[in-house]
Amino acid sequence: MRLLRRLRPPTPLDIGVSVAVVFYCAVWFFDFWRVSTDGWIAVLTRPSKALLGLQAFPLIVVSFLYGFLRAGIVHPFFRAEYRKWLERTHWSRSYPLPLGPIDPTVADGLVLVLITLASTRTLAPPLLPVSITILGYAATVMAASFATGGRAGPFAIAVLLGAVPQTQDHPYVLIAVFAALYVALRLDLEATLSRWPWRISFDPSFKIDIDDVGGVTAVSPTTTSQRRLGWPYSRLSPAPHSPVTTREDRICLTIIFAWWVTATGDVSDIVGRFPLALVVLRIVRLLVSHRPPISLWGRLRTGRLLIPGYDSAFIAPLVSACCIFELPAIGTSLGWPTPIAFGVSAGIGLALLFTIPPRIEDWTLSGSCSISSRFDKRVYTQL
Amino acid sequence: MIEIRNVTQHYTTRPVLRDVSVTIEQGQLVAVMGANGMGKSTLLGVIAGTLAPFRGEIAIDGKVRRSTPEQELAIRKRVVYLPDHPWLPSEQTPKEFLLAVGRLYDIEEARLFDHVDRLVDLFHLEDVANSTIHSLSNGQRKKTAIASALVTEAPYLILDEPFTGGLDPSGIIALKHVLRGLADRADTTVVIASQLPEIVEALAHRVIVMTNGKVELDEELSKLTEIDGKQVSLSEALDHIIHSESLERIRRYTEGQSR
Repeated sequence: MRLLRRLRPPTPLDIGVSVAVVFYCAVWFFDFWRVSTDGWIAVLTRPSKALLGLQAFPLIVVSFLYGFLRAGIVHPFFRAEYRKWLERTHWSRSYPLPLGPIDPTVADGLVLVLITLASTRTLAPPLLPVSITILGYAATVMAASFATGGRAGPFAIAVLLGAVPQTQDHPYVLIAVFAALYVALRLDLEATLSRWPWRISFDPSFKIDIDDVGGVTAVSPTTTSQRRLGWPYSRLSPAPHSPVTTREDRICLTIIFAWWVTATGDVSDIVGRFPLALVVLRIVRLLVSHRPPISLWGRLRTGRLLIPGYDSAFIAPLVSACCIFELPAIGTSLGWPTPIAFGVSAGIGLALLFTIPPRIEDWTLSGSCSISSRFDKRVYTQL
Repeated sequence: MIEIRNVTQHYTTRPVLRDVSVTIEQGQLVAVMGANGMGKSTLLGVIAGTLAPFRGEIAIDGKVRRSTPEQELAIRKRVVYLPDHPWLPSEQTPKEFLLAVGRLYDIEEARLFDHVDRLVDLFHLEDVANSTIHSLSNGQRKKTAIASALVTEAPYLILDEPFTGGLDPSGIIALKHVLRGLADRADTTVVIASQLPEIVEALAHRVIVMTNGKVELDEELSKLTEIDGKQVSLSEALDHIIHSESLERIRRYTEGQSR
């Protein structure tokens, strides 16, 4: 019984995993029955590849979710209540975590083996679902480590993750990369937990951290929670903005992303366009949260087509978008391999987005922009 | 001191504020009055920093709004703005919200707890102090919003229509007394937009009347209510000064009817 308990993954994922297993098995049995009979159904479902693809899709989704939730559910960083409670205890790294370990266990190894076995009945490359599981797990561990002050660990993991797609066709090299990732993840996790209690730069929970401890209310708002006080306090906050990333972080992230794009090989032309999502997000965020001092029609009527104090914030996203669109063609015309052309373009595009002034934080404070309460109206209660 | 220097503000092509220049001395309680759409809320928004003027500038204690991030943050620390329709975090309780706002303005913790308790008591919020804001009535939310402005202890309060929005008589009395107390202090400056002459008369040192985006009238209350050596109510004074033409039309109409 104790052995069985040890083999159980320390995550409350029973229902999710069960549904995925049932779905996978149902598809598998249907496939088996279809192949083993010569009935009319075999004629109707002749394109077996579609069926195998159907099996691959949920397997990949479940693989990612397992990795992502495996760390997320038991990590105090992602659970504010758990973290607050833990802060009030004498917990330190020398004790096990009360809700279960974050680091991989034997049971997780069994899950990975099952996922690998399951993937043999799909169109997916044999080690792809496992790679996806590791990606989900690593993303969670990296995010928590980064937000609690870790830098070397998350960056090293990110670089190693870039090697995973490049080595998909070389199983032994891929297993070596997995081993290196395992070591890096364990060390980073150890370092993260050793930094306890954390000074977190970003609180992922949407809650103002005010607790009632033994009848005495203790206020411990983070910068993030201070900014969730509705209209107008969230937007006219006198608290200086403390960015989650420094300039050096952004440079490192840019280089790592360029490396990832290069590593994706055949699909680098798609992955290399991902920064466009950031560009669009930046523009939408600016337009939704800050209005110009005069409307577009007003600009045309008054002849003030450009308002430098407002328009300057849009230079970085526009230049970045141009780079992401145009530089790959220039790179390939110079004879660069496609993945490198897209990787370099994405890196330069991101670097420009992050570095061209003004900084958004400064612009919101000193630009010629009116603050819009439209976003707050969606989030908070109307008076 | 708040200095509004040649401020012009557009939304589309129509200027809502036209070259407005006003100086509000420290320790004054100034009421901005005027009909709907005359620019009261826009003027308060410009002072509060939610609106960037198309032309002109706002200086508070000599620091120009939106000139540098550092100056803007320094100004924000000293100015609190309560719009006519604030949006409150629905899942927080009034007490949590007030404590968090106080912390945002760096109020010393012991004083903050005491102040929050007194505000909850003042606005009769004891019964709902630990319920979520979502479950509060409009009047209770308004009281919570007003209390949040007061808990900041900011030396500049910019309040847009604080006496409307479901405030009950006890809330109006409480707010009137608190603002009266603040008006008597030399270190606190209050700017309120209001349509209610009887409230303004009881509170303000000075009245600014806006018409079509311009300052129609900017006068000390005591001088404003004195017409031909006779003391009149603010309502009568405003009728006499601003609506003299309308009054003349009414007089002509009623005289014609009686003939």
